[in-house]
Amino acid sequence: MLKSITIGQYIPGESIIHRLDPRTKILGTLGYVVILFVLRGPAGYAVMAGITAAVALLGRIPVRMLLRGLRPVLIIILFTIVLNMVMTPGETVYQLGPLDVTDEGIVQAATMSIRVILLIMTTSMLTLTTAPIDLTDGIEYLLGPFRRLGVPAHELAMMMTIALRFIPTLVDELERIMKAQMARGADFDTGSFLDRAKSMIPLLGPLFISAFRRADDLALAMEARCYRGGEGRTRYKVLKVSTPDFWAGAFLVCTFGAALWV
Amino acid sequence: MPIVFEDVDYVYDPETPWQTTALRDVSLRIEDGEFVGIVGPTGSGKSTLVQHLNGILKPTCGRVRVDDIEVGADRGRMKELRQKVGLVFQYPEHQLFEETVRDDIAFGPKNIGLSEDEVQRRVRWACRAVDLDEQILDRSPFELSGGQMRRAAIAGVLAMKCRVLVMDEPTAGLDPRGRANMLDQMRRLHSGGMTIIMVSHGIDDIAQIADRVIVMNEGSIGMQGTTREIFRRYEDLQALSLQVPRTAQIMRRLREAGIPVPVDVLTINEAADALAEVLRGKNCGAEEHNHRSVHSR
Repeated sequence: MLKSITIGQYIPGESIIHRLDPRTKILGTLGYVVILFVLRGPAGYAVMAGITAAVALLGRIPVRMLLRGLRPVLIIILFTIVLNMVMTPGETVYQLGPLDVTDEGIVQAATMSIRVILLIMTTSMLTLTTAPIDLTDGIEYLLGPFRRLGVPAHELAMMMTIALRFIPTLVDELERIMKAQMARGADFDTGSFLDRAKSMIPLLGPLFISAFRRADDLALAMEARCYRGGEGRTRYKVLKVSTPDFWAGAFLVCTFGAALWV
Repeated sequence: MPIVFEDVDYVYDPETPWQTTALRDVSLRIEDGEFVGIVGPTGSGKSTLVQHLNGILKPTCGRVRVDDIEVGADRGRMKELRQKVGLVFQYPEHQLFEETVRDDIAFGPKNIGLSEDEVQRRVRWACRAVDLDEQILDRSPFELSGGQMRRAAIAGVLAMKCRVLVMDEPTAGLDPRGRANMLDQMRRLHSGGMTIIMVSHGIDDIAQIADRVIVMNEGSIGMQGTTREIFRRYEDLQALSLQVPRTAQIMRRLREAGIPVPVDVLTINEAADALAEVLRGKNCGAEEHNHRSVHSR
C-alpha cells in the first residue's frame, strides 16, 4: 500500500540515461515541461510523446513503473477531462442533461490530459533514473548562480537530500509501527471516517517520536564530522559533463525545436 | 493445538524490481507449551517467518495454520488470531504512544472490546507479569528507563492474554542484567503454560532457555532439533556463520587441549558440573581454582 509512492524512487541501473550528468537531466526535464505548456497542435504532442518513449526505452524503465506513477493523479486527470469537456464554449456535439459537450471541449480535454500524463511520466523518469544524491548535487549546482540573490542553494540541496533519503526509512518505520499496533488488535481499515482518523494516533505518535530522534542523531553525526554548511566544502564526487551529455543536449534542442515547429 | 507451516513461501514486493523471496518452502510444527528458539544470520527470514504467526503477513504460497485458523484464508478471524498469538517486535518500546503507561498497556485489550473492569484487571496483571511496579502505571512511558520502556511495551502485548508469545530479539540493546531479567520473565511465562517462540542473535540466550531450535538460512529451514542436538553441530553452524554457545566453545578448546570434557554443554552451570566431574576423576585438589577461572572467561 505504502510502496506505491513513486516520488524519489530510484531504480538503480547502468543505462545511458542513468549515466548522464544530473544537470543535463534536470535542465532537459525543465525544458520539456516548458515546451509542453507552450505547444499547440497535436503533431507537437506526438513529438513530445516520442521523446518520452525514447528516454524510457534508453533508460530501460519498465512501463509498469511509469504507469504506477500516474495512479495517484488519475482522479485529477479524469476531473480535468470532464471539466474541460463541459466547460469550454464551442459547438455542441453531445447533450448531457443540462451540460453541453463541445467539440472544442473535447480537444481541450484531450490536450490537457495528454499534457498532465506526459508531465508526470517525464518528471518521474528524472527521479527513476537519477540517484537522489546526484539529483540534489545537480540542483545545488544549478542554483549556484542565484546565491548572490540570497538563495541558500547549499542548504536547500542538503534539506532535499535529507528529506529524500528519509522517505523510504520513514515508510519502513511506519510499516513496522503499523504491524506492531495491528498485533495489539488495532484496525486501520474499517469504521467511520472519525474512527479511522483516530486510529492514526497510535501510528503518528511513534512515527514523529522516531523522526525527531533520527533528526537529533543525524544532526549530532553531522556535527561530529565538522559539518558547517556548504562554504569551502569539497566534494567526493565531482559532477562532470561528458560526450553523451552533449549528444543528449543536442538531441533535446533539435526535438524541442521540431515540436514547436510542426 | 499446534502451529503448522506447510510449504510456505513469502515474496516481498512481488512483480516489482524490488521483488525478494524471503521464505522458501518452509514447513514446521510447533506444539503447545514448547519453547522454540529461532536463529539465523541477518536476512535469513526469521522476522518474516514469525510475522506469519499472527497473520500480519500472509503466505504467498503454502499454508499456515494456528489451531484451526488458517492464516490468510480465514480473514474474518484475524482478531481472534491476534488474541491467541502475541507478537513483540524488535525494539517494542518504539511503539509506545499513550500519555500514561496504563493507557498504553490498555490499548490492546480495549481494541478487542473488553469491559473497563476487565481491561484494568489485565493491565495490572500484565504489569506484574513483566515485573513493573504498579506505581509507574500513571507515569508517561517516555519518562521510563530503556529497560522499563521495553517491559511496558511487552506488557501491552501480554495484556491480550495470548497463549502463544512470539518475541523478535527481545534482549537486543539490553545490559546484562536487563537481559537476565528478560530471560527470567520468559521462563516464568513459559512455566505458566505459554508457548514461547523467540527470535534471537544471542546464541547464548537461546541455549539457556529454548527446548528446541530452528536454524534459518536464506529463507529456508537450515536445521531443526533439540537445543542440544543443534548446538552440537559446530561445523554446520559455522558454515552458516553462526556459533555454538560460548560455554561450548570453551569446552571444545579444552578438549582440543586433551582434557576429556563433553562439548555439548549449553549453560555455565552445566559446564561447571562437567569440569568438576573431570577434576574429581583426576582427584585434583585445585578444583575450586579451576572452577573460578572458567567463570571469569
